[in-house]
Amino acid sequence: MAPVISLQGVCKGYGDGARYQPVIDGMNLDIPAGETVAVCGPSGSGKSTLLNLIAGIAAVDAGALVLRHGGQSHALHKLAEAQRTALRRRLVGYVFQLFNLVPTLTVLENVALPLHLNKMEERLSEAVRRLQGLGLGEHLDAFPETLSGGEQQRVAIARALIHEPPIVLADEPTGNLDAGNSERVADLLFTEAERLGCVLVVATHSPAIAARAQRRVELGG
Amino acid sequence: MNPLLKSALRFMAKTPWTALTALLGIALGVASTVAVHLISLAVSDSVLTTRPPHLRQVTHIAEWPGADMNSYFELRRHWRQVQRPQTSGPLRTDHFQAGRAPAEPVEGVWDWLREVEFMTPIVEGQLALNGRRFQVVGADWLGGAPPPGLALTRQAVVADSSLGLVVNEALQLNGERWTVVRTVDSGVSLGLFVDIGDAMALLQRSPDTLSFVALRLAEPGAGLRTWLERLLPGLSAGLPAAGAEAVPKLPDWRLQPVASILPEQQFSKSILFNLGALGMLALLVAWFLIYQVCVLWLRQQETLLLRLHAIGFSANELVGGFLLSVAALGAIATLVGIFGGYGLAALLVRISTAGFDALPAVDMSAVVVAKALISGLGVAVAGAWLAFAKRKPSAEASSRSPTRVLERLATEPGIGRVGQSRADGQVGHTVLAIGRSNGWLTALGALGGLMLRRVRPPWLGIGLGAILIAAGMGLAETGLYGGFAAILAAGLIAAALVAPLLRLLRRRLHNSGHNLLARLAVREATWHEGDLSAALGALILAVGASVGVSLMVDSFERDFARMLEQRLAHETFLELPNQDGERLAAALRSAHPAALVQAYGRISTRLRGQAVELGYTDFSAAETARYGYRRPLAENEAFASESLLVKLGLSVGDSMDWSPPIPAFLAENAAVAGESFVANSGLAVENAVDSGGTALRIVHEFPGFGETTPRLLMNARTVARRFGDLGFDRIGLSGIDMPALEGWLQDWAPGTRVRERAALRSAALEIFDRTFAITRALAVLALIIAVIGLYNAMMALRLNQKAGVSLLRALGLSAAEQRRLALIRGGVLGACAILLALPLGLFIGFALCDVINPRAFGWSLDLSISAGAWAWPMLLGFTAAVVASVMPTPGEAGGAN
Repeated sequence: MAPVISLQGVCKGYGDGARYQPVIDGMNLDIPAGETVAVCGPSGSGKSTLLNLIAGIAAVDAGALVLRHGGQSHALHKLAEAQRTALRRRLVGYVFQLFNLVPTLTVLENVALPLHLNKMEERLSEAVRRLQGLGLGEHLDAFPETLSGGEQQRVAIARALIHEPPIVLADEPTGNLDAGNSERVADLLFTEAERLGCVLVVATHSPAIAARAQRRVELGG
Repeated sequence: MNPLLKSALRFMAKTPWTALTALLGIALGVASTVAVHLISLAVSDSVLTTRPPHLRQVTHIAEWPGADMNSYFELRRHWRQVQRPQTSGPLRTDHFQAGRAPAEPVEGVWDWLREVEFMTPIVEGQLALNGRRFQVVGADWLGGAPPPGLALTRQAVVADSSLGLVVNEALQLNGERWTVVRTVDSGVSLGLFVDIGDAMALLQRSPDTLSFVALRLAEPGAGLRTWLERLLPGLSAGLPAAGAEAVPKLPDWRLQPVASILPEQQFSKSILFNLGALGMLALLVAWFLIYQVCVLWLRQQETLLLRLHAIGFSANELVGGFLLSVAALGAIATLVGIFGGYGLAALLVRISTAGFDALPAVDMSAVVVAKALISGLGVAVAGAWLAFAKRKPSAEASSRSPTRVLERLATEPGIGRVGQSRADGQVGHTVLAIGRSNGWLTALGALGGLMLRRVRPPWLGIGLGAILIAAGMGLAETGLYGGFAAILAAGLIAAALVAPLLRLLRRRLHNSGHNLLARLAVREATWHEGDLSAALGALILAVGASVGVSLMVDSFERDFARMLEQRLAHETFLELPNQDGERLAAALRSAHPAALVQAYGRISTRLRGQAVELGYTDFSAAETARYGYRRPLAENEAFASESLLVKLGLSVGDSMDWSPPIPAFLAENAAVAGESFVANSGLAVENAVDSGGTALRIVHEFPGFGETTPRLLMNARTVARRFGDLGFDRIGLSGIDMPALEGWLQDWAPGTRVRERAALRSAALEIFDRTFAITRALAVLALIIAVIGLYNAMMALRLNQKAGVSLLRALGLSAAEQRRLALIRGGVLGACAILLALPLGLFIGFALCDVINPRAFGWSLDLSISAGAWAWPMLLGFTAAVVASVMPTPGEAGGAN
C-alpha cells in the first residue's frame, strides 16, 4: 500500500545564496496510513519546518513531497501556494503549541472552522457532540481567553479532527502544559488518531509522547 | 552609542516601510502646522504694513461733527488732568505707556481718559493737482507715539507706494517744494502723510480744522491678544468683539474702535483665523496619527523590550530607550516637516492670494521652528509615553508584578513562529508592568488608563462637549472661538464615540451572518477598539471636516453665483477714469437709443462710525429687481448689505437717523463726497452736511459675499441731496455692439475700461476659487494625514493578529479568502467611519454657514447639501479604510520589512 506521506530527497533551508542555511537536507521518509510518528530532535533541528512542509505551508527547495488520499496522489513540490492551501484544508489537521485558537471566534466556531472551509456545515452537530464528549459542553459559546491551557488544547485537537483528515500534524502540543494536562492531551490525540485511522505526526521533545508513537524520526542538530 | 538606541535605530533600518510611513505621517503633521503659521504670518504682516501709518498704533478714534482744534485741546486738557495733574511742560509718551500715572481722583465723565495712552489730532482731506486727487493726512507725529521713521519735519512727506515716488524725490505741491522722506504701503491710494500744520496749509484749511482724534486705549485683553497673535497670526480675530457698552462714553465725542473704519483689516484677520482653525484641525489629526505611530512601534518592539528586560535592562532604561527611538524618528520627521511646510506654504500662497492683492513673502521664524518641534518631537515623545501608559490596564498592573509576568513568560518559548506566538495580552501586560515599576510613570499611566480605558463611553466628556456646542453655537458673544470650539467639540465627540460604537457593533453583530468568515471579519474589525479608535477618530475628524468645508464652499459658490447673476445683469460694464458717467451715459443713450444704459457711483463714508461703501444709481423697478426687490426705491429708502445690518445691529424695516457722514480716507475715492461737497459749497467739513434729522429706512437686505466693506445702496438723488452732485464712475450697458462701442469710446471717453459680463463673472469665480484653495488644500492635507494614520493603525492591528492569520493560513484559509476577510474588516471600519463622519460633516457645514461666516464676515449662507460635497470625502474615507486594511503589512510587503 502506497504511503500517505512520501518525502524523497527533500531539502529546505533559509536565506539566499551564500547565506543559505539548510535545515532539512535530502530527507527521505514514507509514512503509511494509520501510522503515528514522533519527530524528535534538538531545537533548530527542523521539526516544525518538516511539519510545515508536509502541511504545504512552506514549499520544498528540492526533492519530492507527495501526499496520497482516496486513490489520488498530490505532488506538493509541484503545486502553487493556492493549490497547497486548498489541499491542506481538506487533508490536514494541525495542532500547535500556542495560539491554537482564533481569539475572536467562540469555542464552537473554532471547531466549526474546518467544516466551514470544507463546506461540511451539516456536521456542526457532530462538533457540538465532540465538544460535549470532551467536557467542554458548557463552553460552546465561550471565547478562548476564558479557557485554561489544557482546555484550549482539547478544543484545538477537536478542531484538527472534526473534518476527519487523513493527516494530523501536532507541533509540540503539550509543550505549554503541566504534566497532568500533557498526559490528558496526549491521550486524546493518540486515541482520536487511532479511532479515525489517520496518520499522526507529532513534533515533540517529550520522551513520553515519543514513546507512544509507532515510529520515531530523529532529526540531527 | 546607547545599546538600546542602537537597537532601535537598527530596528528602524530593518523596517523601512514602517519607519517611512511613520516619518511621513509626523512630517505631514508638522508641515501643516508650519505651512499654516507661515501663511498666516505672511498675510498678517502684509495686512499690518498696509495699515495707514497714522492709525498703526491706534485703537480708537474720537469724532464729533462740531469738533475743532479747540475741542481737541479741551479733550487733551482733561486727559492730562486725570493722568497727572502736576505735569507741566511737553508731553512725553513713556509715562503713559508705563502704566497708570498716579493721578488724583477725578470724578465725572472724563474718568475714562485714564485709559488713554496717547492721543493725536488728525486732519484729512483731498488735494486735487494736475488731474490727480491726493489723499492728504496730517497728524501730530511728535505728539503721540508715531510709528518709527514717521517723525516728520515741515514740508516732508511720507508717500503711499501707489504714487510711484522714491525717497528724496522732490514734489511740487501748491507751488512749494516738498521732499519724500519715506514710501509706505499704507492702503490709502495716492496718500500723502504730512505734519498736521502742513496738512492744513496744503488743504487750505483754517488752523482750527480737525477731522478726528486718534487714541490708544489700554485694552484689558491686550496681553491675551498679543499672545494669541504670537501663537498664530490671526488667532486673536476669534475673540469676541467688544460690545457697544464696552466703548467708553464721553460728552459730545463719539468713540469708535479703529477696526470699524478699517473693515478690510478685520476681514483679513477673520480669513486668517479660519485658516488657523483649519490648520489646528490638521494638527489635531496629525497628533492622533503620531500617537497611532507610537502604538504601532510599541506593538512591533514589545517582544524585544520584554526580552531586554528579561536580560537585565531596567524598566526606566527600556522606557527611556523607547522614547529616545521615537524622539529620533520625531526629530527627523520634524526637520522634514519644517522644510516641507515651508515649501507647502510657498506653494499655497502662490496658488491663492486668499483675497489679498499682493503676494506676501513667506519667512521662517523662531516661533515656527518652536511650534514644529513641539508638534513633531514633543508630541511624538508624549504619544510614545501615552502608548506605553495605555497598554497598561490598571487592574492587571496592580495585581501582577513584572517578575511574575516574566516567570509566566518564561514558559512561553519560541515567540514569533507559527503556532508558537505568545498570547498578545500577556506580553502587553508585561510591557505595561515594565512601565508600572516607575513611580511617576505609574501615576500618569493610571491617569491615562482612566481616561482612555475606564470611562466607557465617556459620557462626562460628551456632556461637556454638548454644553460647549450649545454655548458656542447659540451665544454670538463667544465669537469665532465659540463657533470653532463647537466644531472641535463635535469632532472630538464623534471621535470619542468610535470605541463605544465598535463595542456596540461587537455585541450586536456577535452572531450575525451565516458565513463564519464574514462573522470573523466583523469581529476582528470590532474587537480591538483600543488599537483603532485613535486612527478611526482622526479619519472621522478629517472626513467630517472635509465634508463640512466642501458643503460650505459649495453653498458659498451657489450663493455667490446667484449673487453674480443678479448683479451682473448688464452685458458690458464701463469703468471711467473720472466722475463723468452721467454725461457719457447721456451720450450713449443718444447714440444708441435701443440700448439699456445705467450709470453707477459710489463713495466711501462712515455711518455711525462704521466704514461703509455707499453705492447709488437710479433705482428703478428693473434695477431693484436685480436685488430681489419688487418696486422702485423711494426717497430715503436704502438697501443694506447683510454685514452692515449685523455691524449696526439693524434689521430690514428699521429706520435710522442719517447723521452727517464724515469723509473717510481709506479707499479709493474715499474722500470724494465730503471734499467735493466742501469744495463746491465752500463750507467747512464740519458744517458741510445738513443732518436734518431725516430717517433713512432699510427696506431690503442683500448678500455681500466677498465684500470687505459693508455696503449701503440708495437712489442717486437721495445721495445728491446729502452730498451734492458726486457724479458716476461706472456704467452698465446692454444691447450695444462691442466693436462699435469701443471705437466710439476712443473718441468720447478715452481711458475708459470696458469689461464684459462673462469676463467679470469668470474673474470673480476665479478669485473665489483662489480664495478657497488654501481651505481645500488644508482639508485634503488633514485627510491624507488621517489616511496614513489609519494605515498605521491597521498595520498595528494586523501585526497584533499576525499569529491569528498564520493560524488561519495553517488551517487552510486561501489567500483570496484572507483578502476577503481584510476587505470585510476594512469595509466595517470604513462604514463606522462614515457613519460618524456624515453627521459630523453636516454639523460642520451648518456651523460654517450659519455661525462662522456671519461672525467672521457678516454674511450667512444657505446650506446646500449637494451630493458631490459630501459623497467624495465619504467615498475617500471609506476607500481609505478598505485600502489600509488590504495593503500589505511589514513582512507581507515583499520582504520590504
